[in-house]
Formats: sequence, structure tokens, C-alpha cells
Amino acid sequence: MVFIISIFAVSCVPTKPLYNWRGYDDAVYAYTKASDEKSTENLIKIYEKLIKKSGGTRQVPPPGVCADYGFILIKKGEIAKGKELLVKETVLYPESKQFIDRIIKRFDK
Amino acid sequence: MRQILYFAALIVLLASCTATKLQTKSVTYKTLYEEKPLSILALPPINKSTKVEAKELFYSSLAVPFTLNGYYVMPPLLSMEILKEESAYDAEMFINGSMKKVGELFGVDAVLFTTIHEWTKTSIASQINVKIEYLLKSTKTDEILFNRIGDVTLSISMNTGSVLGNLVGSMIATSLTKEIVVGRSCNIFTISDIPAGKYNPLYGQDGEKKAQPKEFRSVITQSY
Repeated sequence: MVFIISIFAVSCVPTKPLYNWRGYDDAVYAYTKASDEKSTENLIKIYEKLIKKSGGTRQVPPPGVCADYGFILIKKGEIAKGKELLVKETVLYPESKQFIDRIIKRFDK
Repeated sequence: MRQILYFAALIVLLASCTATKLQTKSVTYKTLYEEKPLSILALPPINKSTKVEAKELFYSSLAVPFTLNGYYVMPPLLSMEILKEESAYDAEMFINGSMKKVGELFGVDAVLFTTIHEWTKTSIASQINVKIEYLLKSTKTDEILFNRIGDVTLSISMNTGSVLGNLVGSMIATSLTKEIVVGRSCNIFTISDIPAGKYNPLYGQDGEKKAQPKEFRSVITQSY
């Protein structure tokens, strides 16, 4: 099926995005809606892709991706890898450090 | 013939980017240029529509457009968990209060409130309409940094339109439901007016650009 869309404001939107968010919207939507094993596994797959193939002009994983991925892994019981990802978020984005450090401390207890 | 087409395309481009009597971004968003916020915490949307599940489903779609404009948005899933723990799930309770406490708790420069005014689907007219207000408040001064309303209608018809929005087109083609896509489109169009954030190469250089009107209205025509 082919959709044809016309929108007038779109010509003002920059064409090269700062980050690659491909697949994220649908995956996180499905996860929020169902939170079952299937949607969790799919979201994890997308997170992996966004981290490994970080496209976009900045060539880094988008804000929040490492932290949310880490959080999901911790919830699944993969504490070590989850914590590693939380730390990675603070390295990529130092402005998240105050909040994320507090979360990490929780899991250290 | 080719030149005429080029010219026509140019007019379309100009028409969509310029509008009369609009102020520059440096005037419209004066406080934002002064405070230079980087980190944003999005609060759960305030839902005034009749669509009950809109709140949580819409929440996770808020981060992407801000990041694409150069801002840092707190991780949505992790933030939602903490907000629930802190009994801050209902943003309407403290929209008029001071943002300083939230600022300290999350270490953010600004807090984003969104109000879903409309979220309707009319099957007879084949239309989906969303009207969402975005309000960004400083955690340092409680000043309003950005306040815009997006009103987006998706109209599904049999007409053949002109192909301009391949971005939205691909989003709709791959999406699970059309409704959330209308919400996402509203986010992208309305939030795109925010001055470039620190991670955007245009940071600090877009002050002379015209800001869009406070209320942004767009009709997307979807044809088969």
C-alpha cells in the first residue's frame, strides 16, 4: 500500500537528523502498551541497533537509549550489564549524571 | 518547462517557510536564549481528552523530537518509574507550583508539561484530530521557556495529493496505529519551532529566524 502525504510545514524541517531513532517509536509504544516478553525482546533488539549503528550526524547513541536499555536489563535481572549501560549514558551525556548516579547507587545496595 | 517547475517548487518552499507579522525566535523565546537549557524532564501528559489510554502511550513519544532539536531528554522509561514512585504521575497537580524541587531531584534545567486537549477519531469523516499544548518551564527561575499548541488533523481520503512529506509518510506506513502517529506528527511539527539546543550545530545561530505562531495547525491528507 502506498501512502501519499502532503504537508506544508515539512519543507522547514532539517533533512539530516542528529540521531538515528529508527524503529524506536513503534517498539517503545508496543512495550508501553503490552509490557510482555515479546515487546520487551523487540525493544531490546531496537536498543542494540541504536547503540551499535548510531547513525545521524552526531554518530552517538541518542539521549536516554543506554539508560533506558540498562534499566530494562536490570528489571530482567541482568544487573551487571544494566549498570554498565547506565554508566555509559553518563559518559555520553554528563548532564544525566546527577540523576543516573542516584539510580546506580540504589542497585549497589 | 523544467524552469517553470523549478520556480513553482521554489514558491511552495518560500510560502511554507515565511509568514507575515511573525517575530524572530530571539524575541519570542527570549528567556530560552538567556537560560540556555540543555536537560529536560518530560512529565506524564495531562489528559483532558476522552481517550483514557492517551496519557501513558503518548508519553514515550515526547523525547525524540526534543533530542532531534539538540536537547537532552531524561530517559523516558526510567523517568516514568521514578515519577510514579515520587507520586508525581499527575502533572496537573504541580503545573502552577515551583519547578525547583523537580529540578533538584532530576538535575534538569527544564520541565516539560504537555496537555492533551483533543484526541478524537471520527470514523464517518475518516479524521483523527489531536490538539496538544507544550509548556517548557525553567527549574531555575520558573519562567516559561517555550509554549506552543499543535493542532493536527489526519484526513484520510481518496484524493491524490502532492508528495512532500516522505518523513511522515514512512512513519505512517510502518506504524502500529495511525492515532499515535498523528500525535507524533504533532510533536515533531510543533516542537521543531524550539530554538536549536546545544547538540544542534545551529545552536545560538537561529535567533533571527522567524518563530511560528503560538498555535500551529496542520492538516495531513492521506490518500490511497
